Amino acid sequence: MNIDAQIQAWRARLQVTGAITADSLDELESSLREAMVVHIKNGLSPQAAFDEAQRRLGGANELASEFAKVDSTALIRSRIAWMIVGLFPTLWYAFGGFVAMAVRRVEFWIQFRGNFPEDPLAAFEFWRHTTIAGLTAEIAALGSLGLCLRHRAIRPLLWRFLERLQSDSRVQAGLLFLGMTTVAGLRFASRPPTIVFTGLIPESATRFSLTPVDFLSFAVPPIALLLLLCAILWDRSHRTQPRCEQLWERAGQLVSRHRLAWMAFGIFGFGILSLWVAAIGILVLALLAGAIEASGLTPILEPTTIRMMGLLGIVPAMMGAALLALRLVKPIIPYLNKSRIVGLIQSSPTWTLLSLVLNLGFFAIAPWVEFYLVRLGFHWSPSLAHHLMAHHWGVSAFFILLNPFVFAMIAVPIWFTSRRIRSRAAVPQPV
Amino acid sequence: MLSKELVAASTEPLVLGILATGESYGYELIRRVAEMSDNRIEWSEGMLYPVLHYLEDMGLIESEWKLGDSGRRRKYYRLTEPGRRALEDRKARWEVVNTTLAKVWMLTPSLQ
Repeated sequence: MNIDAQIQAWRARLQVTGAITADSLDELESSLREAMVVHIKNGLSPQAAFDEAQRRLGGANELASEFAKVDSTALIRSRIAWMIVGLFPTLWYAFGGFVAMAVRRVEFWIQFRGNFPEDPLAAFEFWRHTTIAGLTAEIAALGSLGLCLRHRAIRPLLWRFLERLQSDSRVQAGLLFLGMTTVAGLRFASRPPTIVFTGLIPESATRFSLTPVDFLSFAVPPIALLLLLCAILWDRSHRTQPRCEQLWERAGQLVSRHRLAWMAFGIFGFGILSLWVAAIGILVLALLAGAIEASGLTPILEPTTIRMMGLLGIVPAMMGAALLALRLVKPIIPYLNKSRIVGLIQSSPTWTLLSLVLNLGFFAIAPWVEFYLVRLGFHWSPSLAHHLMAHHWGVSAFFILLNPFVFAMIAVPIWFTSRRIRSRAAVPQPV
Repeated sequence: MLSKELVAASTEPLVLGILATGESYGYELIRRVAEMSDNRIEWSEGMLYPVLHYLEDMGLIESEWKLGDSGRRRKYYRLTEPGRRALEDRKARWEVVNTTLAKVWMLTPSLQ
């Protein structure tokens, strides 16, 4: 490899860390080249001069941690950028679900002429087969997006957009807010409160009502991301190199452990947050609809059930609160000053793991919560279900309005973490 | 070799001081400090650039990409007016340390 290519590879290694901005990379490269000129003047070969200059500058991780100490903006920006990349498939998936819901509604009117079915099993069967049809529609939608992105005219635009996404925090803030709001809104719109249906179904059917299909739908966003990445990376215009080799070379430049981890957080983190929000929302709406239905103040849920449902939504709020609390008690408890604890909180795998556990937890818990709700003797009335079905546009708007809460939950810990790094790294002063 | 803390504390006044004599770029700053300290202060790029960016954020210095004499692009830093005032302030602080230390050395018999 010639020296320029080696310098580019060295730059790429630094860039992947996410902590060094493009401008700082230019500056480091300029410094590297200055040092090389001096070494060559002193009699070293260009290769030896490059090796020596590179050694003196230090490894990618060392440099990245030095830069992140004083200015974590680049690091935070890069994390958010890759979270947004992870959000895209979720967004598309939610959009697919919305299409699926539209299909369901049409079928609902054709089959039942707008009246909720008397027979619970008919309702369950209707719900289940439209869900499978919806999933097929989602995957087809994703496939078409992949094909569009692979087009020669679109791909350069996509690369430019990715670059912009990493460097412009205004674009990030806008997309993050828009994306999350839409995901939560579409997700709810595409998911008629399943509790409503399962509450109508005989106990034996409740157990099977959510799990298989929902687990399948849970797998869609990661598969989607993988498909999209492959579609983007697979370059038809360069046939000189074997396709596979080209793909891996490109993938190596694009993907790093941290980027993957933050993308995964984008998928699972946003997905789960929108689900939790939907869970709280269903509860609130059920109470409202129940109050209307009873045309009095008869509660439709038992107090214990309400508490149990409420607990579901508290978990993500506790995550944010724990981070804030950690910051508040940090000066008091010296142990928390330990860099490994700070490192653990800031590390992308921790967040990804947490979001995965919560995501899986939701799907594991939800059917059982519903099952026991039925066993406790609680049944949702058909007219309540009808209320929710009929007003789901309003419901979506409600969730869109609720989303600043979700946004704050993500943004606040990130903001505090970045502030902490900044204040810790202030240059020490004598006297 | 100076301790890490001493290097960190002295970087800011050294950078401001050198930039007070005229604009300069990262690699040259490292070289000049090494020269003036007889190679006893060795800065690394990983340490210096974040400090330069921090000082720029604070408005004490400003930067501009320019073509150097050799035809290579370099990012030149220069002192701003607040930077000049900050330098005066740092100078006064270090004077206090210097004069106090000088008096202490005078009192320490083994060092006379």
